[in-house]
Amino acid sequence: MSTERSPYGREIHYWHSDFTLDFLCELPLASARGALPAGVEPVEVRPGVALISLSLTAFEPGNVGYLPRFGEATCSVIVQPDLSGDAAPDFAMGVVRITSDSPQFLRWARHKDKMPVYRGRDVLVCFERDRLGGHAADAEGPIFALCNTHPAPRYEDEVFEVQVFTEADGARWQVPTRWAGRAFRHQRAGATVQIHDHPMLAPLRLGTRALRCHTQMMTPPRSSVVMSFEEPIRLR
Amino acid sequence: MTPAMLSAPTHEGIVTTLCEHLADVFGVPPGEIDVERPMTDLGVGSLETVEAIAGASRALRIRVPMADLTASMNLVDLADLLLLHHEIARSAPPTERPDPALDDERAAVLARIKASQRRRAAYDHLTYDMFIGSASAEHGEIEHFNRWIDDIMADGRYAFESTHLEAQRPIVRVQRPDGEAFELINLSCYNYLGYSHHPEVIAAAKAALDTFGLGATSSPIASGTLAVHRQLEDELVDFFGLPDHGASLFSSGYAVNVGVISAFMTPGSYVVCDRAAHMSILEGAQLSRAHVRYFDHGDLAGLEAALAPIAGEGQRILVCIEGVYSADGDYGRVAETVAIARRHGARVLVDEAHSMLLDGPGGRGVSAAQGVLADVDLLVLTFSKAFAGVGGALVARRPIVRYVNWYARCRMFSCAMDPAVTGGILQALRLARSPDGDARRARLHHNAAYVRDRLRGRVDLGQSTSWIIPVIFGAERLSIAVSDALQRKGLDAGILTFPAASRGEARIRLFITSEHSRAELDRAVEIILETARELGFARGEEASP
Repeated sequence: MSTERSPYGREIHYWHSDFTLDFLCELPLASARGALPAGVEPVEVRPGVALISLSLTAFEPGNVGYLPRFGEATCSVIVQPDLSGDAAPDFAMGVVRITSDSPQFLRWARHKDKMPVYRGRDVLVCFERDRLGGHAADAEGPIFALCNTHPAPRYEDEVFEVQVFTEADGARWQVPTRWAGRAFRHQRAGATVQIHDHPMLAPLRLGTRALRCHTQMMTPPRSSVVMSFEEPIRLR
Repeated sequence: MTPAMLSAPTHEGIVTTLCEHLADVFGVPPGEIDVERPMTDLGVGSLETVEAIAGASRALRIRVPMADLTASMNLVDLADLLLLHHEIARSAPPTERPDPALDDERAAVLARIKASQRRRAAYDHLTYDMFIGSASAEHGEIEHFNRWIDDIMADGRYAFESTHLEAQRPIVRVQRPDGEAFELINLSCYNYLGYSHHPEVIAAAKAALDTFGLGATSSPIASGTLAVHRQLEDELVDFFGLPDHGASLFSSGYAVNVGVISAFMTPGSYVVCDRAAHMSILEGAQLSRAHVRYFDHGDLAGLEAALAPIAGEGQRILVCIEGVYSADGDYGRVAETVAIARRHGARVLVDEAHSMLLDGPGGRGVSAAQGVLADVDLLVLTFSKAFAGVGGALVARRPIVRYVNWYARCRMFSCAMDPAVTGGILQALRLARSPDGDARRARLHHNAAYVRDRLRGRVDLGQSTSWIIPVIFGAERLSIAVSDALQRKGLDAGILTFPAASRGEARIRLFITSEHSRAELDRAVEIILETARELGFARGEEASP
């Protein structure tokens, strides 16, 4: 892990992982809207349909200098970007909840990156790299599971610029982030996402509703992914 | 404070220490401090609170920047923050090291992400939609999009938006926006039966121009309905052999779906769409403010599942499908869809944009071919495909047509169809009903089967069984290279990429016509296979070096 300053003087932290799954699922627009901070609007990909991103990331040991190897599970909504600046992001996300099997990481995410964290008991973030799958669970039960359905992934070098919107400490924040690594995205049909009625996902009010997977993205089972997170910008 | 806590503070221990210091300030026992309440609500001034926190931090030997404190924090949050700063300052690196096998890759990816902070990624890392598709008109996105196109043009690879310099014949001359010109085999337009340049069609259009002038100059519901429009409506009804039906003309095929669905459906009703349905269907549904439900492309069990829970609500339900789907070139399952819809009390709209005049008895479309023409509630036609003009029509029972004429806003508030084009379309319809149409349909089916047979197994054709043949190359990032290569080798063909095609299934879309010669189709196939080999999307033996 290393820390630098952006051209605007904000701290940038680089995070290293070696496996990521990020699946987009369709959900009713109203559910997505209800889980977001005020002023952040979901992208409506079809009439009445928004997208949530469910991701599982395996972080390497040594991030921010002291964190052990850990896993993170996140739930976000794809939202309209803020285009008032010079550059247009590739996409934007409003974070609903994140959790992890590392309490230290959750402390960092909560206070440094202004993320809405979910602190479950006995959190497990498990990866089945050979199947390009994984799942998250805690003492309350399973949260969600992801599994690739494409028989022959074709990985490409990718760099995404992503605006992340969060709400924490009584304020709204924008976190400029980037993602670089090798990835494959596809929309092959099949049973690929299982979402459970779990407190972490409660803001979405999904219950036991089955969601249709929109896009599956994955990295190779073992490859380097780097994410940069700039210091959060407080929004008016 | 115990020595053990000093060496390894816990969250619980820090909360206790904070309570002790605040209790001193308050003059109350530590147990009476509410650790869940925001510190601003604890009943003392902010200065005293900050002093108490500073005292606790000193006792714990943890330094916290004052900027990190926020008014909404409670003591549990604050303890968490103090613990974070302790970990940042005191924690040792983990004993486990990152996988050394990834060292080189890690350095390369880190360099790439840092480079991306200085400049936007190269243009072939982007697609039209900016990942998901934003309709915003904010300046940042517009500038970004323009830089993307400028970069491609500067490399001489921008083959999109080429100007066609003559009629859409099988061989066509085109000029790119940068001025470079080519003569190409034309598999990029849906002039399926070649009527756009047929001499009788042109003559009929000229005659209508002479008789009715350049434009209708009024809405069809006001005074814009000309005799040539009425004639086309009557001949369409006669063509389908449905005497209790009528036809309603619109200025585009897109407008038919938008206008008809928004008129026919109301807030609270249901539009149930095949996921591959055309954007105009979705926009019509959106405009109607009906609930929109989807089923997977061609999935009849999915259709059943979508209809079952809403069938008993007493609301109008409209199922929307297509005769032939424009991205995949496969046929709609019209007969089965009609049967399922009937069981659930739903109506059916079939958009036959890419199938009318091309399939079924006498060219009456896929609904007729599957024996359910009279059972389709709303039959949507587009005149820009096999009819070779522009505009569209709804064919439905007369009461529905009369209602739509008054309530489809995009019809009422638009000018009626161009008279010359209407005259040409009328002649195209007459030809398509004649032996000329039978011969052209036969050639079209033969040509399409020939191209599919030659390409099958050598490239990915998806599910195509029609005159629309996708050649799937997969990665969106190849789109610019594929379109440029095809044009430079002599082929004019469209590219579909996300969101018009599924993610990871970007494709060349070939429109076969009745007018292509065997030699032209052979050369087109060679060009596609050459491009596939060069850009890595060939299959089977073609993929071998």
